[in-house]
Amino acid sequence: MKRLTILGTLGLGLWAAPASADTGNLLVCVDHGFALQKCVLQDVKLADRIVESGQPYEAQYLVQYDFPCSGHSVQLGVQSADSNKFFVMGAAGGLITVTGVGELHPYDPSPAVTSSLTFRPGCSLTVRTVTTLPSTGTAQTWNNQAESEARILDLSLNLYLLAKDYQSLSTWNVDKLTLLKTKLESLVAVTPTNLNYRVMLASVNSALQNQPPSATLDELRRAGDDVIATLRGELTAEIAVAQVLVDRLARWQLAANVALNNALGTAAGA
Amino acid sequence: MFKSTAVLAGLAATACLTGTAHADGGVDFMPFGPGGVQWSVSRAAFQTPFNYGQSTAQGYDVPFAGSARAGCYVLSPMLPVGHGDGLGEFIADISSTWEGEIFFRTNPTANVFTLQVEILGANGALTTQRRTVTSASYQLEAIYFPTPDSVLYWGELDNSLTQTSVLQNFSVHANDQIRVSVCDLVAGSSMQVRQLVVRTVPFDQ
Repeated sequence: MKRLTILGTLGLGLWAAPASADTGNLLVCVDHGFALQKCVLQDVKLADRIVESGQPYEAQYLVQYDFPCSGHSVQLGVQSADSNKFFVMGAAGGLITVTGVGELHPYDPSPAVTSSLTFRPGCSLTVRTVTTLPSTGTAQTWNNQAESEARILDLSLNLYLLAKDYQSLSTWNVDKLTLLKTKLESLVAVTPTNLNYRVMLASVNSALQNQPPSATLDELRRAGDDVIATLRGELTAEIAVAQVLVDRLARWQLAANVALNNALGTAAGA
Repeated sequence: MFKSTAVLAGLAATACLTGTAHADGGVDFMPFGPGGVQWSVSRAAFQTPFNYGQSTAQGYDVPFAGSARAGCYVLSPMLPVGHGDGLGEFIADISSTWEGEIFFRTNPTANVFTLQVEILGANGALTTQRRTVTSASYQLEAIYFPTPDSVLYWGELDNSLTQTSVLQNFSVHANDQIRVSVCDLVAGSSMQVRQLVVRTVPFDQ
């Protein structure tokens, strides 16, 4: 039993569509025997919001409920942030979908009115399950992020591979030299005290002018090793970021992003 | 022993008078107006503390008799007011006959029975309102002229939701409880009580 509970807990955290348990009756009333009055909708958290890497994302909640109730007509539903949807009175196994960025809670727009209404005995409101999915917008956002990360990863890999081949600077074309030059300029701008970055930048500039590097071979080797280590570190960091995005898509059972998977596969082999 | 028996009897009587009935047990309701309720109390939930009549498939029948039937002989359970302050009306769904002599020069109508509304407030205070229904509400037919100043009439009254000639209005407040009754049927009359209908509506909804 304990094992099942643990697995269930893990499931909630790891699977794409975690479903919460039966809530029991959310509509608590004074029972007069022949009628229910003074009803109050209980506030419970029906589902967590989607938070990935500390960032909240819009979720689509699929809510299955039972609302066997007659008497006065009442509007009760669920709410996530500013979004809400209402249950249908009398529904058994009803299903509603609400999209929002907040936790999912029961929603009564007018508790005072609800409290003044009368319902027949047996009236109850139970939420059977809540399934949480990324909304269409969130899925699109995640896919865009994956596409962007694929490009960043490709660039990071290219820079790293270029830096590793720094001894062949004189044979590179202008595009390659310009690419590395731009990167080295940003490294120098961020860390102006690093002489190795300056030496490598000077060497690339010389190559662009078809001039031999002014640094000694030792200086050039030290500069190359330092730049390679830096770019390797950046590549490793980007691989980690990309892996998080790949895992997120898999965890929410969304289609994998081909570009990111390919970029990650290539980078991991570097 | 006597004391405890008396207490139990009192509790039983209280439970009887305030007892709950289920939707299939004689008390039903439907939404009425904006936020209002129409209660329908039928035979299964009638409280009949006197043996003036008997339950039938149609309701509770009090037969013609030559003597008066004092007291409230058909009562509803206490009906809760769920909404805020507002108005109420009691419609007795009944058929009744009456036969009596009217001295038209001095007293042109005769009292036949009484509608009663008891309102138990949230503070525990009980108020009682009564409305006497007279022969004027009956379809009368003159059958004999005993004296130059009097007429012996026979009359019929059929009062229902669709044909309402007798009703009683009252005010309600949030958390009141209401009990309606039919009382004090005079000699020479009969009555079939089919339903006791209570409508309440809030002022604001």
